[in-house]
Amino acid sequence: MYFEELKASILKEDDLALKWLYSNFKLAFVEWAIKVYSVEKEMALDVFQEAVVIFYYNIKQGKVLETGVSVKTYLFAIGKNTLMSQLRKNRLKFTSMYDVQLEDQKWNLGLFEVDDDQHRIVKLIDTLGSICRQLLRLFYFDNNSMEAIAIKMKYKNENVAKTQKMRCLKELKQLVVKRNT
Amino acid sequence: MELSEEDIEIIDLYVKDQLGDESKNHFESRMTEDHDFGNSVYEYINVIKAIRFREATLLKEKLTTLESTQSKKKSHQVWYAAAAISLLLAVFIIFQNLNTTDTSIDDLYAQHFQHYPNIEQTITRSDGAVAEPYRLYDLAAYQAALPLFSEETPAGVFYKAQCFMALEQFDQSTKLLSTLASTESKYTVPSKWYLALSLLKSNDIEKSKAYLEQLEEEADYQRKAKDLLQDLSKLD
Repeated sequence: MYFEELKASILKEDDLALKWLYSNFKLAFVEWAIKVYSVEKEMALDVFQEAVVIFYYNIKQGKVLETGVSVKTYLFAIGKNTLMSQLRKNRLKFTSMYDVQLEDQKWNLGLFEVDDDQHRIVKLIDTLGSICRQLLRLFYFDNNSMEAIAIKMKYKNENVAKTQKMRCLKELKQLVVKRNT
Repeated sequence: MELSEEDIEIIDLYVKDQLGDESKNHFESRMTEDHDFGNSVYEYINVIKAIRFREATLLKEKLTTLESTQSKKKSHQVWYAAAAISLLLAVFIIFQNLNTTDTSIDDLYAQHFQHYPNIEQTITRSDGAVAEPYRLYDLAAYQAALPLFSEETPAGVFYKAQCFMALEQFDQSTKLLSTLASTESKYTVPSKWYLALSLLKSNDIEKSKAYLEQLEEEADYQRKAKDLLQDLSKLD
C-alpha cells in the first residue's frame, strides 16, 4: 500500500489500513524489540499496538504530512520512543537504531498516559448516549471539522453540529461536577 | 467558573495546536494570571484527554482482537492442514461451476475499485476556490464537488471523473478519462486504470482489457492490472 493510499484509507476511517499496518510490521517490530531491548514478547506486542494507534491518530491530526520518512521508520520511531519511555520507568537505558527523537507532545506519544482523574472521566464518557460519544470522537479523536461532522451525522448544518457538541460537553462536565461533589 | 462557548472553542484550538503564536501566548498568560480560568481550562483539557484516551484504547482493543484471531489461526495450523484437503476438494467443485455462475462484473468492480486519494489539496490549500472541490471530495460529497472541478487542468478532469464514477455515471467518466489517458500528464497512467474500470462497468470488456494490458508495463499498476485481467479471464 502506498503512503498516500494508506493516509487516504485512514482518513476514510477504514479498518483496512489499521489491519495492514498491524499485519505488515508486527513481526519485524516484535523481533527487533526483543533482540535489541531484551523485552518480553508481550511487552513488545503491547508497545507495538500502541504505536499503531498513535500513528493512526497522528495521521488523523494531520501530523504526518511533511516528514518525508517511510511508514516503517515512522512507526518504529514511535514504537521505540514508547518503549524507551516504559523502560525509563524501570531506569534502563539503551541506544539503538530508529534514534529519531520525537517530541512527546508534538507526536502525541502520551496518548495512552492518563492520570486517575482522567481515568474516572473515561468511565463517565461510557455513560453518555451513543450520539454524544460518536460526536466527541469525531471531533476530538478523528479531528473532523464541524462541517464534516454535520455531513456524517446528518445534521442540517455545521451550526447544529456545533450546538450539539456543546450540549454533549456540558452534559459530560455536569457528570464530572456531580461526581466530585 | 463557567467557561463561555468562545472560551471552549479557543481551548479546542489550543489542544489541537491550531492557535497562532500570539493567541497562544495570550491564552497561556490568561491561564496563569486568572487562577479560576486556568483551573476551568485544566478541567476541560482533562475531559478532552480522557475522550482521546478512551478512543485510543478502543482502537487498541481492536488490534488485540486481531492479534488473538491471528494467534488462534496459527495454533490451529495442524487442524487446518487436514481441513485444507477437504477444502481443496470443495474449491475444485466450486471451480467446476464457475463458468456457469458466480463472479459478476459488479463484484469485480467492487473488489478492484478504490477512490484515488486527494493528492492536490496540500498544494492548492492557499487558494480557496481551487481547494473547495478537493475539500468536498475528501468529505465524499461527490455530487457537490462535481460542478466545481475545472476541466482546464488534468487534475480537475481526473477528479471530476472520480466523482462521476462515485455517482455511477460511467459514460461521463469514460469520456473524461479517455481524453486524459491519451494526454501526457501525471494522471495519464492512473487514468488508464480508472478508464479500464469505467469500461468494465459499461460492459465494454474488450476495451477494458486493452487498457489493462497497457498497464501491465507500468510499475505502479502492474500488479493491479494483472490481478484484474486474471479475474476477467475467469469470466470468459
